[in-house]
Amino acid sequence: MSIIVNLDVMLAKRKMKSKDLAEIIDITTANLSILKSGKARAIRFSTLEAICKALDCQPSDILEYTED
Amino acid sequence: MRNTHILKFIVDVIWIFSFPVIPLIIVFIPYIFFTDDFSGLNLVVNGIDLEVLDINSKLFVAISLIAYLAFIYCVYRFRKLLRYFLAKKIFDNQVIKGFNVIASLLTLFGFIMIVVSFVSNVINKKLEFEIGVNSNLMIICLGLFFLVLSETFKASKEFKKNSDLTI
Repeated sequence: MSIIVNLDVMLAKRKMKSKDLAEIIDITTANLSILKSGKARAIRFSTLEAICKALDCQPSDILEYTED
Repeated sequence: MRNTHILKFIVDVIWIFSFPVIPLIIVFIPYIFFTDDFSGLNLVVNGIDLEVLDINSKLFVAISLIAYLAFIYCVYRFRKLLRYFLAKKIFDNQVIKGFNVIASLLTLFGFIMIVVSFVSNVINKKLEFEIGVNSNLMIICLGLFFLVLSETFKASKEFKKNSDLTI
């Protein structure tokens, strides 16, 4: 897919663990792993909003478009 | 879920009554071709009274019995499907495959029975045009309905996958 999820990068920048983020935004670590690995088909605005709030960033910091 | 239980019960009853007939049919199909006199048995298959049969009628009866076996197999597959439903494995690949198998068998044997009964009528010089809904046509419709169900479940599985992968 041409949308890349840079959640790993943001987590590293904020020195936060996946497990902690999952707890803060109230999703399972399995779902967060799906999101991080790029296997997710879609992301809810509410989840994106929670991630942006937890990592203090913009959606563009997490999602990136690249041509195939 | 209660409806599924009721349906499972009905299908189970049909299966229990159909199951003992299977070995009899399997033995009876070759037997038809080795004997000519059925007067002692008093059997009727698809409206044909089995007393004295020529080779064409025997063929027709044999195909009818094979179609009946296929129908019993469809009941068996449907029971299996209902078991998946009760286990809440509704979007399992086996369910879609099961619907496909039932659809293919019902449609195929529906067509075969229409062709065989038409040919049988032509051979017996009873060429008649029957307009209306007969059982073979209903079986084909049922087969096509299962085909639609199979496609619907295939699409639903994809929707479910999308839904599950929406974080």
